[in-house]
Amino acid sequence: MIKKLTIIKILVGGVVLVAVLGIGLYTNTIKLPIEKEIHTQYVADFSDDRILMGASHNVFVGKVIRETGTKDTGIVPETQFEVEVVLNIKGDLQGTATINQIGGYKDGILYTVHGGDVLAPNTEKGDTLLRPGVTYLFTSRYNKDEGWHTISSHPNGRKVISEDRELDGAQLKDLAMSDEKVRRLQGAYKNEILLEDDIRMNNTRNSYQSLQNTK
Amino acid sequence: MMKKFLILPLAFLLLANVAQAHFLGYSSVDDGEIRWGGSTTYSSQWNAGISTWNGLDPIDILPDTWWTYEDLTVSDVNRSDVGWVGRYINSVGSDDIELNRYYLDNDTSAQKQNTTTHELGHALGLAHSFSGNVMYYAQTSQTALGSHDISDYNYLW
Repeated sequence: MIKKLTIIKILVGGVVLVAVLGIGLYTNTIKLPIEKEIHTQYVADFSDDRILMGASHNVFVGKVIRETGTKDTGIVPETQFEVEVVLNIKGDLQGTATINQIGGYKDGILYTVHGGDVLAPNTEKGDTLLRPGVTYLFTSRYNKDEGWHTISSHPNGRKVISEDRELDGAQLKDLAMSDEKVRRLQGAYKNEILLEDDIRMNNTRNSYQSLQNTK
Repeated sequence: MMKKFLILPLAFLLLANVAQAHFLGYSSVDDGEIRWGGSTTYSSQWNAGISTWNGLDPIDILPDTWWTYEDLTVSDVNRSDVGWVGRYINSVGSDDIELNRYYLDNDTSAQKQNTTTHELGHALGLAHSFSGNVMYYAQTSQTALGSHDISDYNYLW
């Protein structure tokens, strides 16, 4: 009798354990020490600032407030964050914006994008997930259907401006405006090279030329 | 003593070769071949990419059958909010290649083939390489393998 009870307890315990593990992995509350890599071929050479600016709909400095969700797009998860806009370089985002990063957790496994220029620094590390509290320079393309800005994973398309969570908006803006890369991209904007596909598809959002024509 | 003089330069050359090599550290190759499934609009460029890599030995890229395990799945997507034309995903189970129609639909045949060949190179375990090679990180019109593509493949396989 005791033996039967013991067996039943073990079986029930096993079922509960499997269920908890399954739910934990499905909801990504359990994060496995497994990383899967995504290797992309870019449409153009984004190490050229003029091409990077032309291929971006918005370029801005923003502080990551929090992660707001994950979307499974079929094979690769994508992670959304609420970002407080600090400084616009291309476009005119106000207040907070939702940005979308390709990669994230799916079934407890982390997916990250790799694949910049082999000669660029830090290419091997891949694109780590954004960290709340950190202020970054972002280059992004707008997703009309989802209403979010998908950020580029190219190494030239991102930079940490500040990891100091205590700095206020004005201090972060001062820091951003004195950043060498921010200044470089501000200078490249007027000489941006648009993607032919964007011109053909009328998808050159915030292009320098279009904004000059409206003034 | 003479042997040492010969071995040291050889070892240096070998190390220099490894330092310049570009590998992912994994691949879709299973038992000397990649069995692929799925479908793409760009089938002629896909098949041309396969022929290019199959021109090298020893790995064969072949269609999946009832009797084989699918190592790689190709599919098309349409994403205007990203800057990539193609991507290789080291997935759980069969790996994946996605081709982005937003850019590829109006590309030349050579550009399409450059992308399919590039992504198949990733499936073979090759990482990004220098300009003048199919494994260069940005799309070009190059369809023939470059010297680094071939040396990386030969070193790996």
